[in-house]
Amino acid sequence: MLTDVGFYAVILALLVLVYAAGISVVGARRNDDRLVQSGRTAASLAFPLMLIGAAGIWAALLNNDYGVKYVASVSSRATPLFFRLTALWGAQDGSLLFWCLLMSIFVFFAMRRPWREDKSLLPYVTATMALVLAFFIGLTLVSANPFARFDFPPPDGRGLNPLLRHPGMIIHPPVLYAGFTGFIVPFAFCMASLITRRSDDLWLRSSRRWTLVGWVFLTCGLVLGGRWAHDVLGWGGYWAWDPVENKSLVPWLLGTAFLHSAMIQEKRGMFKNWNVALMMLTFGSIVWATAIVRSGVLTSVHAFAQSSMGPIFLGFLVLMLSGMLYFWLTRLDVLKSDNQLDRMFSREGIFLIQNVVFVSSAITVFALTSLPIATEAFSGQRLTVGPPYFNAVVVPQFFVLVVLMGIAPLMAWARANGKTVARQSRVGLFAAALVAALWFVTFTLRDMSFWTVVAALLVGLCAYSLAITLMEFARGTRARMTANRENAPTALARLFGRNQRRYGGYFIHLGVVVLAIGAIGKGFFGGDAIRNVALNDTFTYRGYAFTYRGLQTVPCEFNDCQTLQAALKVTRAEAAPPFAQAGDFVGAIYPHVDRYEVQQFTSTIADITGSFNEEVYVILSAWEDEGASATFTVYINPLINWVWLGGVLMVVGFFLAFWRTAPETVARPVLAPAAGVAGK
Amino acid sequence: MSGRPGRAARFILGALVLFLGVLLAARPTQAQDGSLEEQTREIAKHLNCPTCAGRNLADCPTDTCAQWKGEISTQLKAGRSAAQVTEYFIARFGPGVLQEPPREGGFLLAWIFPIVVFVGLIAAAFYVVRNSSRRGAPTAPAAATAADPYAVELERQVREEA
Repeated sequence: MLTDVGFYAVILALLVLVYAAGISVVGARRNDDRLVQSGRTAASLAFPLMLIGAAGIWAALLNNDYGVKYVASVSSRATPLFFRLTALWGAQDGSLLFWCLLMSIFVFFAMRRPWREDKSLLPYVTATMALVLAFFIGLTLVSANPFARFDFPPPDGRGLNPLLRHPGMIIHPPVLYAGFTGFIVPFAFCMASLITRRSDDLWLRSSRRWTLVGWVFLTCGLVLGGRWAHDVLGWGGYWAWDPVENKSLVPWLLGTAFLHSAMIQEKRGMFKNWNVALMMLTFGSIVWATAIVRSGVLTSVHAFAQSSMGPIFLGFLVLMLSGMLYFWLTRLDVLKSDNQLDRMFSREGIFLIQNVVFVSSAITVFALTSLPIATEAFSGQRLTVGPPYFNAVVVPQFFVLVVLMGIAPLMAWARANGKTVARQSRVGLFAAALVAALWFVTFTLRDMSFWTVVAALLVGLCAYSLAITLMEFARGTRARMTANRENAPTALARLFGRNQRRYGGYFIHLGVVVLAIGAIGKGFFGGDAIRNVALNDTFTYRGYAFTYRGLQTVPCEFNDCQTLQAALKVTRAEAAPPFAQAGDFVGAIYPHVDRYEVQQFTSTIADITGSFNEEVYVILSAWEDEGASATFTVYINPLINWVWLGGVLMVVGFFLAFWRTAPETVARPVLAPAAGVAGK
Repeated sequence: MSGRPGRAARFILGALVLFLGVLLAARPTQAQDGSLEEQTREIAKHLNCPTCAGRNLADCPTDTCAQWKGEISTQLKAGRSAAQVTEYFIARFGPGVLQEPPREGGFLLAWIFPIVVFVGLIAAAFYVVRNSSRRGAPTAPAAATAADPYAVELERQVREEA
């Protein structure tokens, strides 16, 4: 019953959005605010209607209504309550509905915001949002209807995909979807600004905080996805350059480039058409990413089953891209810069280069991820490009970005002074030399090769950027202390409080550097081995001793699988001065293999021990004679925890940048001088 | 008008491009020793698995992959070298079986592409900046939109002459 209500609510949401788009444009044309307001209200209605739709699926999940095909495919009588609720995004149909729900939330809050000086943008913001959301809702109804029913309902469902029964996987999709759908707000503002032929940065300022929200969700989604892959996929890593991971990385790269170049427009009135192009590319890549994952064009751990969505998506993409291109090309005259970029050796110049590197890496990831589709279409032969390739061609570009993070803060706007920059980078260079030397002595010498030398240099680069960023905090604090006569802690706290955007941003940079150091540790110093061992025997690897204590079956978490669990004792095989002696106990670990009969699926779940700086990750690969001997794959992952820590710091940085300042109260005083500049 | 700083910027960029080139040119060397399992794993790391997208053959736990790994072990036991085993898989399943495109023939395009994009975009950026600075007179430095005295102080420190 409620399920049917949900279905009709979703249809109603679609109709309401089509109305909102139409009436808003008509209202703008006739300059009739009542029509525009009607469109605004109609677009806001999509959220409650989509919520009713989602409630319909939730009701069916909770009531064991296996007549609903979707429910039968993702839930079962044995599925616990929590996973029934999260089963809404457990497979294609439901997760697309959920995607629409999230997008409708963003639309709702964007519609409900106080529209003041940016009121002229409202009708086209409404129309853009309504059309995009309407497309996704229409797509759900036409080719992925989660409300579809069986003629003869089965007695029980298949249960949730075992891979998704992990906290990381429960949070990861909503967060990532929120990141994707969140960009609809800046995109709509961008389109509205183009359509109304505005040349100022109103759209940037009005949507800046929304861009940040979308960005942080995307960042979180990527990091959580990495964590999930690390825990569940049993391969020791966190980033596999899997097609679908790449597809969410491309919008992140473009969106991050946009966050930076937007500053140039706000500060200097430059890069206008570049910003518009970047925003359109970002949102275009989001739709592309969704199309790739949803239509099953690329196979990957994430891909949903084959579906009929391909052509529909292709049509929408072509339509959207031509619309964007049309508005962009016909408004190029409006998007002239207020200022000129005189020389590369300036803050703007570094931003431009940084943007170029972001876009260059995004293009490479995009093109090479799409390569399998292209090669298959043209030659029938599917050529996939794996991690070694991306590590070789994209990761170096990321390190260029790390270096730029350490150069940009030293550059003055418009024209930097070479001597000043050189003088101020001394601290950073000193830190770089020191850290690289220390690293070389401590780690590289133990395991000397070309790559470990490169790693020492790269760590030096990270140290340089880290030092420069920390110096920025120190310099700002000192400046406040002299100017305002504050003591150091107060000055630092107020520094963040009064200039959140700048110092929040630098804090995010700290996170990026920490993440990069983690990636160096895992990438250059990580190792793995596969060993067969008899019961109660011991094998050693990279300074650890692993004693195999036996194999046993244990109850499975959801009683729809069989779990075989191995027990291993991990001790230190050699001393690691000054902290550990040989023979020290490191941990007891229980890697296990879960066999799901219904889904015909086996998952290999690793167990983890070690220290913060060096993770020991073990999976049970095979066993003989009921456990008389077993084969284990051991991964030693140095500094991998720094990757997660870096991710956390980035999110903290976001909060520092986002906290407290309400957009409208800040935008207003800034508006007056900005408008003056635009009209000069 | 572009004095030393201009040259410095070009130098920095040149160094970055060079650095990128070095990283691209060099290859990791893998030690080839140890047990049959280790050798098998080393070969499997460079191959794609048909059933685990995104993960290499060595890390994929499925049955199909177990068979492939069995095939590698069998061939190694028969005395074939790692290169021969890899050749066997390429001959049987095509170059798509490799984790990275071969560095030869048409596949080189995949390797050249990122470098062309990177260098091309940077060159384009320089071109645009040079053109725009030729066209117009140098513009006034950004006005410090300072809400706080310390922001002015900061800006002063950043552009301070040595």
